[in-house]
Amino acid sequence: MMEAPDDSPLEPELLDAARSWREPPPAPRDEMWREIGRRRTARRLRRPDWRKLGWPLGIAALIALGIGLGRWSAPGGRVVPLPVPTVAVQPAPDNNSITAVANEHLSRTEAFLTEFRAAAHSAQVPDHFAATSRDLLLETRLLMDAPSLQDARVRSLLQDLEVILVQIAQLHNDNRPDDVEIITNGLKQRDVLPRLRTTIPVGADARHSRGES
Amino acid sequence: MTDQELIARVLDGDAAAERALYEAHVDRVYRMAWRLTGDAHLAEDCTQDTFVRAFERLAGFRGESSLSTWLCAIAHSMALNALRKTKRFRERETDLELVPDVATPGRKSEPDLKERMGQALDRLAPGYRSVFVMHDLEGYTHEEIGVALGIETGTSKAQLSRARARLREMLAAHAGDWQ
Repeated sequence: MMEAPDDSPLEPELLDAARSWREPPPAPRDEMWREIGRRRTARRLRRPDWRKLGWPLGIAALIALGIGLGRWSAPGGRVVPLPVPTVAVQPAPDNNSITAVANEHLSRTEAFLTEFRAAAHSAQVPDHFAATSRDLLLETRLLMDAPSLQDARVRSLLQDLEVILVQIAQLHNDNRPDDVEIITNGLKQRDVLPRLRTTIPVGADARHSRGES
Repeated sequence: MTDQELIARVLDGDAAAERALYEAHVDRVYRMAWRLTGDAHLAEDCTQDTFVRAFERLAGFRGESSLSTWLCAIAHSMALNALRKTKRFRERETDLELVPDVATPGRKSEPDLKERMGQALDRLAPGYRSVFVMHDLEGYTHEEIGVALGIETGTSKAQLSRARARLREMLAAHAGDWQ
């Protein structure tokens, strides 16, 4: 017969001693968040677009299977020397995936800057804007460093975004109205939001780039 | 804002909501990762990978458990994988039956109860340790532990009971300190 589990809690002295075992220090929240952003962007940039690779890979696999079956079923199992067609499977240009990542990033940045502009009218810009700006800045710079991103319009936009995001990231708790005004003026002068909206294709929001319809 | 509202905003691509979700859960995830790995670098690595994975899979989160429990399940799996990778898992996975009493007499300097408890916990079988850490140290319920570890609630209760019993056994020689 199975023994019923003893539900009695651990003695207070033992529990107290156990609590001090591997007592975690405070979580390094900002450092970890920056690293999470870096890892997510790196994964998005690395991830191949299987939908685009699917057809060429499928066709190549079928041809290879056909050749294999042909050779195997040749009379006497002898390998009949046939000219082997060379199938050059061109990987889908990386531009497709990088464009999708860039569009997602621009879409998020556009939402962020719109929210920032609205908050700028209030007396105090909330703290979280600086933190979010740092995350977006990291992604902006990763995209700027991606050689496969060749669209000159997007590159120019990213450069302007970098300047704006740096300014927002440097806002402190005691941000002065002057600082905020400089940023909103920069947004206006560089025509950032209208350019963002015309660059992002219709429907190319975060959901689109995740492959949802 | 509820978890469901937060998730909906994250899925809409709201960067601020992503940060808010992270802020709401990071401490709990990090604490568990730290307790399970006992290593600053591994704990950070597990926490980061937990959130990377969670954001990637958030669209598939059905809400059958709480978001916190779901994150905890990912974190637990990440922590065990990390330990396996670093081979520390094997070193610590000592068969409990073969473990000598951590309170072996005759040492030059006798460690205090906290040290003895630390040694006992290090030697506890990983399954027992996970349940003990989650329930007694981090305050998870048996239902949450069941979901996170993929075990029945009753199994969680039984493992906790056995974990406590093992700890008492290993510290029996110094019962005067705690009885």
